[in-house]
This record gives sequence, structure tokens and C-alpha cells, in this order.
Amino acid sequence: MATITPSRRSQRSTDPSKLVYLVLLGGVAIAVALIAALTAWAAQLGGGVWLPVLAPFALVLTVPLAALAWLHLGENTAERFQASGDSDQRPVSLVDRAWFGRRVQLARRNLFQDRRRVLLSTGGVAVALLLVLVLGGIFAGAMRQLAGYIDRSGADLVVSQAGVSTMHMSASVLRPDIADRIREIPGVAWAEPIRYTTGMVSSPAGQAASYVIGYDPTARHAGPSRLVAGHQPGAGEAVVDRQAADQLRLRPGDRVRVLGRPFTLVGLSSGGTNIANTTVFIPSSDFARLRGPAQAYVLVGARAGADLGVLRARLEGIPPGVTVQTRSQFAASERRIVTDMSADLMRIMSAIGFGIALAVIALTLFNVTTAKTREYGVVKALGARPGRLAATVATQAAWSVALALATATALALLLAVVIGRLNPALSIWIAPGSVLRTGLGALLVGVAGAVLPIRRVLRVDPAASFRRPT
Amino acid sequence: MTTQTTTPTGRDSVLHVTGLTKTFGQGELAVTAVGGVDLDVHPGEVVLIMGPSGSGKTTLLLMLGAMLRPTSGVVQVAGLDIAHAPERRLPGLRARHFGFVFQDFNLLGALTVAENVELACNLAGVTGRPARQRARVLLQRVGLGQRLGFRPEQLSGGEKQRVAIARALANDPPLILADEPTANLDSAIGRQVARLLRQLATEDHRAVVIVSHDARLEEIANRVLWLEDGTFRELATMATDPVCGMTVPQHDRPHLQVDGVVWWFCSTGCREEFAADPGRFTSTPRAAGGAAGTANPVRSGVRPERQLSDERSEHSDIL
Repeated sequence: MATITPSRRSQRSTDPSKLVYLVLLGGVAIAVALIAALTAWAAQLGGGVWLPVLAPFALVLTVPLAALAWLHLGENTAERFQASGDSDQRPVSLVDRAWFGRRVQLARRNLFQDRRRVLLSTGGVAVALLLVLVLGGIFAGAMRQLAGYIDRSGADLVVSQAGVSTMHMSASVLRPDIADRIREIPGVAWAEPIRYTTGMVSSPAGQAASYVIGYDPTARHAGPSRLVAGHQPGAGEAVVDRQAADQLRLRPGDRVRVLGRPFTLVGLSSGGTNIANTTVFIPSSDFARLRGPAQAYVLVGARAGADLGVLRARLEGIPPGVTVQTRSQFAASERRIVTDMSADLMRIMSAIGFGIALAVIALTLFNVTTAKTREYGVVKALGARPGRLAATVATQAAWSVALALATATALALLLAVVIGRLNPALSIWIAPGSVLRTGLGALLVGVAGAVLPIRRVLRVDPAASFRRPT
Repeated sequence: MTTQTTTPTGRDSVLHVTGLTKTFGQGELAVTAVGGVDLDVHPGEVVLIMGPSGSGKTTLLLMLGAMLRPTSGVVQVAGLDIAHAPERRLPGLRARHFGFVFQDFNLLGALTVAENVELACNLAGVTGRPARQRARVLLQRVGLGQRLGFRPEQLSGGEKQRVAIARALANDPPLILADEPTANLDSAIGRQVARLLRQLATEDHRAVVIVSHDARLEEIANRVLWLEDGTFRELATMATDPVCGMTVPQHDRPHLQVDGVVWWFCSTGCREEFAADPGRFTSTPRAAGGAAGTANPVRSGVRPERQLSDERSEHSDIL
């Protein structure tokens, strides 16, 4: 009989390294291309920067793959040395492991044997992760919209009343001539004051909570970042965000009430409506007539090459004292208010999502393990070590998590696009960081879900393979 | 207690068992499933262990296969004492020194025929292309070269058992342990499997230990041992029921004397069936030669080595 004994492992004559590297490089290239295409698509539809989006996605997809590879290769090495029993066995190279170490993929084959079960379980976990992702996406989108005015103002620094760091749920009062004093400070290129309050904007069709911003329509930075219809407001005129105008059934030329006074709608802006409120722009002089001459904030642009730290210190020296933040600091403060308000809700909903994912993964793995208990006994009888059986279950968990995460991410991106089209006020931003956090959470869930099945499989009696099935 | 089991050939044994005992429970509840068994099995030898249900056959096989720790005694396989080996070493010992053939085939349903064999290669330390090659060679040897990509559910019972035998050979073991390997097979296929097991002993010089109720396997065995109440009994006191073919001990079973010949039966039912029409059973092949079921069996505890002529077998096509 032609036999190939284990000792023949050391008799390999061919060097497959080139092929191995080609395969590996090809795999990496395909993975990167897929990720890039997905990210580009998402970036094109939802906006954002390429690299920060690409990297976390790649990382999230790499983690489960690396875990699989680690389990696979680590298991190979351990068992080959155990099986050989040779103390003089030469170390196995990475290429050897990758090429010659390929083993029968029992974990994957067992998991995918019943495709309906895999589909249902993957779908269940994916839906649970989708809940976590979309929930985070809704809040991330709201955060992006919430600070949209400041983000798009172009200011380097934002000056507010001492101790006031936000617009949301805040009131800031600065002396009327504050902007003139700021313009005199070296390093300041421009300074534009705005008057601000929160109030209602209404029409016969309804009303909406709104930021009301009074600004100089001739200034470049304090008004709406983009007009999609009409023109800048003059005396007695207002610009309303397009989404609010749609909601209130307003068109340019209609009358709209702002702070209880009638204005003529002359323009529509964009990007000023979020999940909480909208934004209305009126001339600063009209605002002063309604609420007094005090300014609320000053947007400051620095001269090219100016040191922002030095400039900030100079501005803070203006009596009787003001708060000066960079644009990003101001936006972050703005977001933090809402984040703090919603943190508990986020945690609860995320915990529920992860809980569902945990239950589905645990149930799936337990079912697969239970259905295969006798076969695991056979494999154990044939000489499999407990570690290999545990690795089999862990690999199934990794597969479940990886598939579910990929599915959930794709669905979340799709959902973001669809909902964004249907309801522009509800922006879902699937932040790369959110995907990363969800992926890591899902991995932890996968590990937790594998505990019971691993315990079960470790207790399988190899002698059970000799008993008649019941 | 009688433990007449050793073939005095002087050769090195693959399996050496001394005083093997397994007791379940303690005190008054203690039950001795196997008591003080001695056994030596040599390369190229087929040993058939028979006995009634509950006699301890499977318990003995589990201990021989390093799957059940004996209460006392020694089990040496290829010189290694597996009875006292640390628990963590047992999987490795099983993977390297044993081939297992199960009554229910126990193929893994998610894997193809080739992968079932390849998995056993993997467990023995052979991976990748060499493992696939070895699986292919072994399956071709058992006549399943055209079934490599099939699933177990697509195979007949005989094909499944041949896959199981190929899997048992994956680690090139010196000892094959088979538990009722023909129980789920019809007569013709069971004979094929039996001769395949015989071939593994004669051609590969492996030791084969078979636990079975199937009297057909006596044809391929070098030795037939009778296990009852956990100990080996003299086969000289055994007879074959002419009705059902079961091997039964003479001392405590129903019997009947017809024309001066004593016939032994497994139960009163078989005796009554025989008594109704003795001629119907005494003319069957089972009773041919006047030996089966009579008080004068031709078998003995130690059977001389038999040279089987596989070339003349009607099933030589699969060999």
C-alpha cells in the first residue's frame, strides 16, 4: 500500500512561497479594493473624508480575519508538534503553515452545513448590530447637524460671554461694540458679531423650534453658509432653512412669523435643520429692535500665519472677560451637551442591541454544537485535543460576528442613504469609529456567546461515539 | 476466571493487556464490567471478541482505545502504557496508534468523503496537500476513488463503512479497533467489509481487534474470544444457536437433544422454533458439518493462523 507517513512532512521539495505570496497579495488587494469601493460609495453619498473612513473599516474587517488566521495557524502548530512527538522537529515557517498547514475547515463546514440556520442567525445578529449602528448613526448625524452653523462659518475662533461655551440651551450677552474692539487686536483678519436667541418660527401650517440668528447681511461669514433659493434678507425679511420651509409649507415671498413678528421669506438656506430645531436668519438690526442691542457671539478670523494660541490669549484679555474657543472646541462643546443628555439612552439601546446579538450568537453556536455533539465525540476519539474543539467553536463565533458585522455595516450605510433621501432632517452618519466600536463589541459578544458551547464541547466524552445514537 | 488469550508465537505484540479490570461504582453498588482480562494481539492478527450484550465488550474496547481509564491492569500499545498515561497525552496516543471503526460509521456529515479521511490525517499531524493525497490513496484502495467529493448521506451503508475504514488507516496505525463493523450492513456488504478488515491484517501487517455479535466475522478471525461477565471464557463450552446463529454458552442456555445430538439455543423461543421442524435448520449452511449448535463445536479458544485466499473471493473487486 502506498502510504504517506507523518514524517514525510519534512520531505517537501518544492518551494511554494511565490504562489503563497501571490495568493496573499491578491487577497489583500481584493479586500482593499472592496473596502475602498464601499467607502468611496459611502463617502460620496454621505460626505466625509476618505482616509479616516477607510482605515477603521479596514481595521474592523481585519480583526475577525486576523483572529481566524491566528486560531487556524496557532492550532496547526500546536497539534503538529504534539502529533509528531519529535523533540528535534524543526520549526515550521510561516509559509509552511500557510500552505502546507491547511487543514479541513471543520468549524466553517459545520457552521455552513445548514445554510438556512446560518442565514437566520447571521441575520439576527446583523439586525441587532444594525440597531446599535443606526442608533449611533442617528445621534452622530444629529451631532453633525447640531453644530453645522459653527462648523461651516469659517471662523478660527468664537467669542462668547465669559462662562458660556455653547449656543444650544445657552444665552450669551456681549457689549454691542465688542466686534470693533476685537478687530483692533493684532492678528485678527475679520470679526463678525451675531445676535442670537432661540424661539419659534411659524406659518399658518405650523411652527418649529428655531435658532434665530441676527447678522449683518453684507458680512461674509455670519450668515447662512449656502442659499439654495432667494437672496440675503433686508429689513423685515428672513431666510429660513429649506427643510423647515417645506415643513411649514413656505415659499419665498410668503409671510413667516419670527419671534412673534411677521417677516417676509426671501431666501432658503440648507444644512440648518437638525433633529431638534431649525435655523432662521434675520438682519441684525431687526433682531436689535426685537431683543435689544447686545451681541451674543463674535466669529473671528485670524490673519494668515497668526498664532491662534496667542490670539486667543489676547482676546481673552478684553474686559470684562470673555470665553474664547476655537471653532472645533465650540462645536465639540455644542455636541457634548446633546451627547450628555442622550448618553444613558444610547447605552441602554446599545446594551439591548448587544444583548440580542449575544443571545442569537450563543443560541446559534449552542444549537450547532448540540447538533454535532456526537460528531465532536468522534473527532475527540480520533485524537482531537480539547483545544482544537474549542478553537472550532471559537472560529464559528468569529465567522458569525464577521458576517453579521459586514452585513450590518452594509445595511446601515444603505439605510443612511435611504432615510437621508426620505427625511433630510434625520441624518444618519455611520461614523467609522462607531463601526469600530460596534465591531469590537460584537467580538466580545462572540467570545461570550462561545463560552457555553465551548464548555459543552470540552465535556464531550469520546466514548460516546461508540454508543448507539438515540 | 479463565483468560486463555495468548498466542504463543514469540512475536512482539502490538497490544499487550494484563489484568485489565474496570469497576463502576463503589462498595455494595460496585459493578465489575471487565475483570482481570489478559490479551496479546500481534501484527497481522485478527482477533474477534464475541459475547452477549452487557458482557463488557464495549467497555473493554474503550479501555483498549484509551477512551476509558481502567480501574486496574496494564494496556500497552506499541510498548506504550496507555492505561497510566496522563490524560493530556491520550488524544495524541489515539491519533497516532489507533484506527477506529464504528458500528454507525460515524462519518462527519458536513464533510465530504475525502475530507473525512483528510481530517483524520490532520489529527495525526499531516496537513495540506500530503493529507489530501493520502486521503485519495486510501479511498482508492477501498474502492471509493470515484466518491471523493460525495457527502456521507449520498453513500450506501457499505460505502460509508469503507470510508470509515479508510479513515481508520489515515494515521497508519499498528492497531485497528472495530466495534460491530458489520452490524448495520447486509450479508453481502458485511462480508466485503469483513474481508477488507482481514486484508488490513494480512497485507499491512496491522493488528485488528473486532468486537461483534456477528458470527460471519469468525471466518476472517485468527482467534475468536468469548467475553462473558467481563471475563474471557473457553470457546470449547460455546455453541451456535442453529436458529438465529448467535454464539451461546452451553452451561446456562436452553438445549434440545435430537437423534442423539444436543443443540443449544439463545432462548426458549429459538428452541421451540427448532423443535417444530429440526430438519429445516439442520440442513442450513449454519449447521453444515454438524457442528453448529451441537455440544461438539469445532472451535477452540486458540485458532491456528488462517491463510485466507482473497484472490478467490467473490468480493475481490473492491480489494
